[in-house]
Amino acid sequence: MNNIMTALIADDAAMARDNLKYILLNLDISKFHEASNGKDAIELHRKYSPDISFLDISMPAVNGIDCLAHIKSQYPDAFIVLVSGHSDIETVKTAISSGANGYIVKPFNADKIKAMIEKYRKSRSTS
Amino acid sequence: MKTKPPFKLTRYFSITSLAAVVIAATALNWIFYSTAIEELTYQSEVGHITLTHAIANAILPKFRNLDKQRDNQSEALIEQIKAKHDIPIRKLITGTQVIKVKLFDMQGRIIYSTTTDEIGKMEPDDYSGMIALTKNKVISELSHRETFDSFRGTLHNIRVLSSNVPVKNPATGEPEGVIETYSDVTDLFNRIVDSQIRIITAVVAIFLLMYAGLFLIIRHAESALIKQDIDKQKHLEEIEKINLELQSARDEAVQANRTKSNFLANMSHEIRTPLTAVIGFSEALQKEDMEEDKKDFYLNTIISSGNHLLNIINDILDLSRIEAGKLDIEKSEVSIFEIIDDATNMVALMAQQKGLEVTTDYSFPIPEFIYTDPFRLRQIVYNLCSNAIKFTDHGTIDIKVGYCADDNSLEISISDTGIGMNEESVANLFKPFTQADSSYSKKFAGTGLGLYLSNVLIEKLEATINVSSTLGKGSCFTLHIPAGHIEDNVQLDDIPAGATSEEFQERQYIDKQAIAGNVLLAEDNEINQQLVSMYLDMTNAKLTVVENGEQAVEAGLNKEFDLILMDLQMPVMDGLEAISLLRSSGYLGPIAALTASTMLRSRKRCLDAGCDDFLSKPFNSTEFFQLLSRHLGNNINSHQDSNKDRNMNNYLSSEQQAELAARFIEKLPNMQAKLMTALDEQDWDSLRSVSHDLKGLGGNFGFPELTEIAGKVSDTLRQFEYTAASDDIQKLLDTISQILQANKKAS
Repeated sequence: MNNIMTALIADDAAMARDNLKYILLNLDISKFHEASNGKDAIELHRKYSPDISFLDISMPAVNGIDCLAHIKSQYPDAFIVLVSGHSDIETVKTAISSGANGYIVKPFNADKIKAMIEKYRKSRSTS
Repeated sequence: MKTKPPFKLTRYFSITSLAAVVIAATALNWIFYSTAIEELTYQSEVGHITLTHAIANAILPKFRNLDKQRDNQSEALIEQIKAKHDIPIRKLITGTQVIKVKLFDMQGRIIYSTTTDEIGKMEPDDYSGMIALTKNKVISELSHRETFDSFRGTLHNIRVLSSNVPVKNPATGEPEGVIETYSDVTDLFNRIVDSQIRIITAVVAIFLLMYAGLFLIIRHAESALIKQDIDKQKHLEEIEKINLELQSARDEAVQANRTKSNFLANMSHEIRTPLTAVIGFSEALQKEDMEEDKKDFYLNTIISSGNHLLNIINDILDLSRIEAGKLDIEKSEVSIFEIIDDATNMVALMAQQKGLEVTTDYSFPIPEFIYTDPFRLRQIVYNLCSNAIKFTDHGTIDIKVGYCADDNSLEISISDTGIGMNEESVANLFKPFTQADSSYSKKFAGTGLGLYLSNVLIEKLEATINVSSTLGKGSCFTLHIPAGHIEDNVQLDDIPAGATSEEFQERQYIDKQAIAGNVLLAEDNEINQQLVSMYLDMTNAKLTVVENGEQAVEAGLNKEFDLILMDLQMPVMDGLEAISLLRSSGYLGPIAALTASTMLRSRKRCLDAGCDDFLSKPFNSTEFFQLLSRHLGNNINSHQDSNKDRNMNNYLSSEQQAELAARFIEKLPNMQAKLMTALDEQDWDSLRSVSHDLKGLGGNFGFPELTEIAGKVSDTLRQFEYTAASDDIQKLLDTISQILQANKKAS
């Protein structure tokens, strides 16, 4: 809360990005970087090292899970939440084993995003 | 233990060795001696023969003439011989070892001798000189002489070698006589004897050395043999001991088996009795026409029988834990008042049914808290109390609690006015599977495990118990339990608030109507599903049931739950894995594990995996509602309508929401058109992709109905069930139209 948090939002649907942005704004996060595909997300992450990243799984070019694996290989401490319309167990397992710090199923409400922010703050305060 | 050597190896060895040494020494001695003597004789003989030849050549011819005069040998002749021949002969033999020379003719007459007295005398026919002459060969003899007349005078104690050498006339070749030569071989002989002694000494020394070596080896071998023998003896003794132990172990096992068989028979009876009640009354309840009172009675009986069965099973489980060494003790700060109150509440009904009074008397001051295992202490007090009630028909059960500051221990005594016991029964009291009298079991219900378990638990808590009992008067069990050290502990002078029975009841009271929220139950067992469902029906909470861990994770990620009840043992994915996956995914809500194991280890595993609470199966309604109220109590106003709640982005202002909704609706006709085109062209991929997007967005923008139907379409299409999807696609299109129309009206 003392520091201004930056978030990376990667989703091919602009509306979905907007939705998440509004929710984050209400959670005192006001700096965003937006990507509409996985490739841009990786590039933006490299450039800005955001505090928390929300990656949609089904994105063109590079999907969310590959994107996650790529970012985690370079920044193991990055806090990355995967967002998906699917909740099938295999995808969840793959995401978690690839190092996702959270997994949110669409449609989500603000509570889930808030929970992720809490989890992020907790992980940063303990480390 | 000292044992006789089994073999007299060293003795046998000594005797044979000694004999061998003697024989060997003797034999060697003899061989050496005879060889040496032979050599000596030969050497001397050669000398004698040479000398004989010299004498024969030089002197003998001079005697030939004498020979003719021998018949009238006279003193004069002898003198002549002496004068003429004695000197040359003596000259010849001076410097040699020869000490005497003697000549005698064919008839045996001595014609010359260095001992001149002998001249003229006759030798006997059997004289060796005569034999030599007859046989025409040299004969030598070795002999010992005390005195010997040599030409050098009389010699004493000497070894003499004499050789008789026949002499031939060189002209005729006829034998003429014999020359006998004596040599003093004392020195040589002594040297031989000396060598002999040296050799024997050496031989004996070598033998002794060998013997000593062998003796050591033999003795070593013997001691090894003896040791082996002792070991064998020991081994035999050990085997004997083991056999005895085995025998007694077998006896014990047989006895234990017999006791267990009795126990099982007894247990079977114990289990059947309440089961009969459960089955019988349940069947009776199936009949529709029944008065309410009767129904209540039946239900109460079923519940109490079930609880009774549960107690039996818990006792058996504890017993198996004790036998497996897995009975864990978990100490914490405990209020003794609560423990006593809990225990008395648990036995209250039992006492009431028998018309007994249970009194509690505290001798203050008593510490506010003690440090022990609350669950186990409660179990002990409960067992002692229920035991007291079981064996008492009239009177009271008195519980007294006091504190002893000297050894920092708490004294809890439970006395009854029951049947009491004799000394023998008191001694057998804490053995498993026994009741004070086996015939009691027919009269007094019970598995005979309670006191045994209590005793084990008492040991585990480092406490002690004393029993005093008078047959027919009653018994008194006194428990001394260490109070442990607790910082800032207070000595109380009165029962603390919240610990009396009424307050306890109040504390225990749970307003089921206050329990509300969404509960997810992950449980594969249908009966448990029904049980939880039934309990939840009594509250305002809503239940979602899934059957395995995977479904639990999917459900937990898809919907909001206020509490997840997770069974640990489930097919496909077990509870622990599901819990840790949910936690990794960022699920923060409370999760309670339902486990059949009450062991600390499994509890720790649950905590590690990320669960917040536990409920041991089987659980009763009170325990279940206590769990619910911990997490869902006073939840009545929140999450009342979860759907409504989930649709609202409750952190967004209404303007923001409106703005988002407007932007969504703006794009909706476009998506509608896409859907219609795709449906016309049977482009299932596009249909699925669009409906998937709608599913994800609808809810977030305030249109849950859209999410629901779009999700259905998306799922159906993913399973390639196109015909089934068509209807739903139509419904989806309708829903979109409705939203668009509603929006039009509003604007």
